[in-house]
Amino acid sequence: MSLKLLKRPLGLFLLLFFMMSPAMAVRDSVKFLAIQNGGRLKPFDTFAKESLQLLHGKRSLEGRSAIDVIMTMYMVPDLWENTKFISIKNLDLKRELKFEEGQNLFSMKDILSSTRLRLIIEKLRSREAMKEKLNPYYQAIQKIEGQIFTYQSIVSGQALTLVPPKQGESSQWLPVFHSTGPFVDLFSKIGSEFAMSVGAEVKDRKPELDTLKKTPAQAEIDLAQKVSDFSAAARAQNPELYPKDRDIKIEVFYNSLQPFMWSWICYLVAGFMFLMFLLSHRKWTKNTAFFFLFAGFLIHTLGFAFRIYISGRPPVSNMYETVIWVAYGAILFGFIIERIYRHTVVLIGSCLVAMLCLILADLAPAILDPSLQPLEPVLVSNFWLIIHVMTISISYAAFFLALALGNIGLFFYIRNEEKNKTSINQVTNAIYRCIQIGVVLLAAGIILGGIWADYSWGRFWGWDPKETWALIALLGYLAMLHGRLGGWIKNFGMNVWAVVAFSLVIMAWYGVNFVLGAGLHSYGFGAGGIEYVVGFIVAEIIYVVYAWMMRGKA
Amino acid sequence: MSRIPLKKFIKFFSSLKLAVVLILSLGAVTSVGTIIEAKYNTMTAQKWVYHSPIMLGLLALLMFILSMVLLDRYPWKRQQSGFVLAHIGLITLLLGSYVTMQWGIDGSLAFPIGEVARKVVIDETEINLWSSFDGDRYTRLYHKDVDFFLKRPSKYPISIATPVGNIKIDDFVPYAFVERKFVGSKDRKKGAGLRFQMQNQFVNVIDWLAQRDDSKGAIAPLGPAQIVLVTGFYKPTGKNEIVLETNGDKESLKYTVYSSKVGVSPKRGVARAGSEIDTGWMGLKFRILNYFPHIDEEVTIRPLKYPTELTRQAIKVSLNDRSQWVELNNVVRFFVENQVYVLEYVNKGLDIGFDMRLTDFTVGRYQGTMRAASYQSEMDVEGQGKVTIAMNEPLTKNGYTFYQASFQEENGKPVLSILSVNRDPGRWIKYLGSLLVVLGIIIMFYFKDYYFPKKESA
Repeated sequence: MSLKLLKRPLGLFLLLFFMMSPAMAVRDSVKFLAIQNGGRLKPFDTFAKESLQLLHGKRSLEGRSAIDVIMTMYMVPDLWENTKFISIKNLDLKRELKFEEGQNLFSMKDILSSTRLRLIIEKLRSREAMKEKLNPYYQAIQKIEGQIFTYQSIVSGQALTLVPPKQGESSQWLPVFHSTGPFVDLFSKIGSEFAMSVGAEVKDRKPELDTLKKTPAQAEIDLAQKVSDFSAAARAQNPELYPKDRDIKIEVFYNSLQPFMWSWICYLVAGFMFLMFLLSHRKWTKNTAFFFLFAGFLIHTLGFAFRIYISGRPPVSNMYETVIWVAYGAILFGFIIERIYRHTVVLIGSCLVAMLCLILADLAPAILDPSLQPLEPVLVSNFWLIIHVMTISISYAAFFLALALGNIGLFFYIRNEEKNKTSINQVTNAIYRCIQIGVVLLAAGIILGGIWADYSWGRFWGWDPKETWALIALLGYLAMLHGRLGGWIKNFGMNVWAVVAFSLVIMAWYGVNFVLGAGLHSYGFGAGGIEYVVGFIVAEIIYVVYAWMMRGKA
Repeated sequence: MSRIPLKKFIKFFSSLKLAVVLILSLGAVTSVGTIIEAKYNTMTAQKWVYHSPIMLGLLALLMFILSMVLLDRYPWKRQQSGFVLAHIGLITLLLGSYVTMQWGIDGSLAFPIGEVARKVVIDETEINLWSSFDGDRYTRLYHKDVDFFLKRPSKYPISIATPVGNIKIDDFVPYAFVERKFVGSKDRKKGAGLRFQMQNQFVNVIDWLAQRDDSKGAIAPLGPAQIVLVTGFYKPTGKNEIVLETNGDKESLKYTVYSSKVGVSPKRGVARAGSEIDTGWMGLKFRILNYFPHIDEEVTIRPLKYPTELTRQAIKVSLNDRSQWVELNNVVRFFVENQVYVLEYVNKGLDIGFDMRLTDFTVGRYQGTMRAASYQSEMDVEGQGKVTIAMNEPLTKNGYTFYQASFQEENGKPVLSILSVNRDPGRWIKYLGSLLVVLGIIIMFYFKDYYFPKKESA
């Protein structure tokens, strides 16, 4: 592509970038303090965001950064005790606690002063003692317990494990107020500079409140100085255990970058431009589309690279990561098929799938947890694990792409079967290829899973629900391929199957963890979102039935 | 059979329609299995679905159809190599699975730290009946492999004839919550039992201490101290201990409190239900809440609809007019005249033929948490010396493979290591089958265009 051709897409990209850029952050320096939390060392930024995510359900609170919220929570606990910001969504639980059902946010005081709280926690305890499975109601109680614990350990300072142990001692970091040496003093200096900076900001907005002499910029510099004093002292205490500056910086950067949001925006534009191209056949639309596709893919890859760097393992260990990985696969397979057959419509499907996945990952952090958690022992440093999970989940990408193409194909059928004959042939051919790719990868993945299980547990096949559902999905697609070979499934049938059979993949991918909730793969388990998933499947089935009826009429 | 019907036979069983129907039914049956697994547990799903005659029948039919398909297409052409490989691979894979099912072993071995184990526990269950005159030497009178889950005793009752009457097993509960408690007994052959409390400002322990039917002593270890309930002579160990001596049918006990400190003389007296004894160890007070010179252990079970981690399988055993519930891996005793009959309901065990001892067990944690990051057993293996078995680092010996499966801990310290033990003669057949399947599918899909000139598909 020549420079001239690039001009239009590049301009569009930059415009988008500036529109989406967040406002200048303040008190950023605090983000770079190292903290031991959740089984690993991380920047204070990550800790603050994860804590706020748990308490509030989002990573910022009404425009205030997580850092501001968590720091002031420690410094001025009274301020937060009465603020309605703790998120409780479970209806039964709200009823039980006699809370307003229409409301989702409550104050810690509301929760702690509820006379029913003890009772429901007792109920949870007896459930746990009987080792019964916990339904969403009990999971919601567990969550409240977690919220109370997190809140109290921040307010009390117990959670602020910012001080590394002295050399030769255990690996346990200490809360600031438990530590000896200069840390209490240094941290209180950070606190006062932090307050100063907040004050300066208020003053900047309302000059009549002339209580402080510092400008916001000066306050920022002073705060950064105190933070670096603290870090230097902490590093000096134990240079071996203290994380590298570079690692902390990279993680903070990753937190602010939101690569997967950027890539879905790019895919959205790319998909739209591919559609424009199909309708108008103008060359610049196709170029722009490819530009955004590559940009999105690049950022997507970058996001993966960051996660791998930070966690030190391949990013396929929980639902969130597989969703992102599937989006990646959908783009990759779409691109390969497009290169071979030159069917631009395939890339529209890819963009749709990738967008859907990444938007889900971006918008539903309560269900798809984006935080980096330590792995269960059996998953640590295991070659076969990585290979089998990556292979199976990327096969889902191929099937997902087939679903998107099936939807597009059915759309052509609904519009006009005769007129769209070429398009239908193209789409069906691409579906066939996708399913072939998917079947090879899924079969290989299941077998690799068997090898892993054999290697780790001594069992090649144990009818574990996760492996069984992967097998059922494979059987579904195999039935389709045999039916196609036998000639009972024709083009229309292929489109229908591609859509319907994906419910099996949804069951294997999401349903086993979130609906069945049993088996050895329980380390990937979570809860929530079932109403949306069922809604999606029902909508797809209605669409298929509609297409089928319309086709009969044409 | 003439040639033409044979061809027809093969044609029928190699039809694609039959294949599709079979594939879909396999999918349907297994999906039912996963739902049962989620509602109940793995064992239930295996017994009802995965190892059921329907499932095995479907798999056998699949193997048969696969062979028919291969026969039907014979002689195979070069362009069919992918298809042939994939289908032969599948047959091999199923064959390997059959070999594993038939001759493989899958069990577990549990080691307390410092102890030897060599008996692998497998899923199958058995009942054994033992009898003894003196409580020391036992003779096995009866043995039977049982699967009460599938063959319920309510339908297929078991009755074992003994000189004192028939011992019967007439009820079974698959998911029973078992509770044990002790009650006073009039039977003078039964041992003594007491319920006690040990308390100071930090500790409060309430528990039973009971002499088993055929023993004369019972010990409750409580960390640095212990409580001993004994009939007859007892030699103090030198630890902190309270020794309680029974006194025939009388409701009183003679007690002696020993201290581990040198120079502290033992404290003696008589106690009964309600008595409080000052131990002199860290302000601990010992109270006897209840005492029975003869006790019965009463087992009550609560049948649950669905299993939890705490439910066990339980059977009801009766002799004449007496009956008692017993859960899996436990025993029930009947005293008749001067004999004792012991019925055990246990998982079967398999001797591996050599000794293994767990010398140490270490757990690595994620920093600042109690979450296990790794764990490993240090073993002393007969004929091999020191070996470490860790997650993903199994030990193979005499055809068995030992995997680190899990561990149990008490108060943050590991106490028990659990290995899973496996012998799989079908392994390499399954691996070969897997390889063929994957190769076959790849060749079938991706080299198709190479073998066949591209045609427009309909």
